[in-house]
Amino acid sequence: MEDFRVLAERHHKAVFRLAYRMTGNQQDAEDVVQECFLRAYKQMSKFDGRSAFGTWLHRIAANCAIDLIRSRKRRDTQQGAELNPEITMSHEPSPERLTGSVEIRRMLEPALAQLSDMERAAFVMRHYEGLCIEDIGATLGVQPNAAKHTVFRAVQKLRRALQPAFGVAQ
Amino acid sequence: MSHLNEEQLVDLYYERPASSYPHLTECLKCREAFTDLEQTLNAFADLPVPEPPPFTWREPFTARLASRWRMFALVPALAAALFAAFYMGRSTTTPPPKLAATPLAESGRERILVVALGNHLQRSEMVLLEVANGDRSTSPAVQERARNLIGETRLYRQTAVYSGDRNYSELLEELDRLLTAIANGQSQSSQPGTEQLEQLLFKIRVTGSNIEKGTEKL
Repeated sequence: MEDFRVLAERHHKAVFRLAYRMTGNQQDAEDVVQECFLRAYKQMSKFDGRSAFGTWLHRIAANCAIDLIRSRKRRDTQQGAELNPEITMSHEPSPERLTGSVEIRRMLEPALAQLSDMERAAFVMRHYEGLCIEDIGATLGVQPNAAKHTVFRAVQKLRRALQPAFGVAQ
Repeated sequence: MSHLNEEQLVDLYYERPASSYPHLTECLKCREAFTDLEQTLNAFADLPVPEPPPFTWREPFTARLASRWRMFALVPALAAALFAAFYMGRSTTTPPPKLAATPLAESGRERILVVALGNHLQRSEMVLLEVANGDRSTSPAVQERARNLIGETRLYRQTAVYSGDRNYSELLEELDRLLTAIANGQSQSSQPGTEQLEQLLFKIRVTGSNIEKGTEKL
């Protein structure tokens, strides 16, 4: 118990960062962190030590985040919630506004919000967590090829979303 | 000369060293395409992430369990009423009228009783966790909560014994013993041992999980 507490404390911030990047929401990220540690504690006997504890924990956190995003989407659909226009990039900023890095930073979260749940999860695991394609596939429950393609689709969408900032020819 | 496609450029960005693509060093067009990709993806390193709230160990467990308690707050009272009704029904000599809805009523009653037992086990788990997490000496608040659970534990145990459910009755008997020790234990020596606590916590979780699965089917 004490060992687990120490490990949880050590990985707390990293798990929160992963959860926040996947959910894009602080409250949801905190919920994911709680659920992640609860699941990890319950599944401790299944941890076989083949991977590092942090990797195992991050995989649980990614799964928790995916579950939460899916349940949130179901809830929003049931309630007929409309997408927040701010995060759907319904307005495209003019190139003049995009000269500074601050403006680019402002475009990042809306760009990520355009991705599907799977694309966002795959991209976050690949880009921020540095997970290999096989691990991403295992976490998402898909074949490596599908995971690779999901990452690729995510990158394509992000490039398109940031095109006004960088003027990249797609 | 065939140029690198976008997928290859993404691969290159994430895992392959530039040396694996000699073409990139020779082809200006591909190098520019890679630079564009790199510029976009590098921008995501700046995605702001807020500072997480301070780490608190017990919060994940207590918050989760507390939310479950709220959900089932009324269930014990309903279960007690059903329990009383069940025994009153047994003591009467008049056979109950045969209604078409009887099987559904039985199923519903069984479900509520099982859910109530699941809720009771979760509350007990919470107390045991506090003892296991603590410094082996129990606070008066935890003792009080353990004391409050004893009566209910015995009631469920009697029901389990009466209905011949050995697994539940053995678990509840063990829980009764530990709760009594926690409620009465003033000295460290009278507290339950770590191994004993963890074994019981494990059994409670397994039973709780089985109950959750069972109630989904009912």
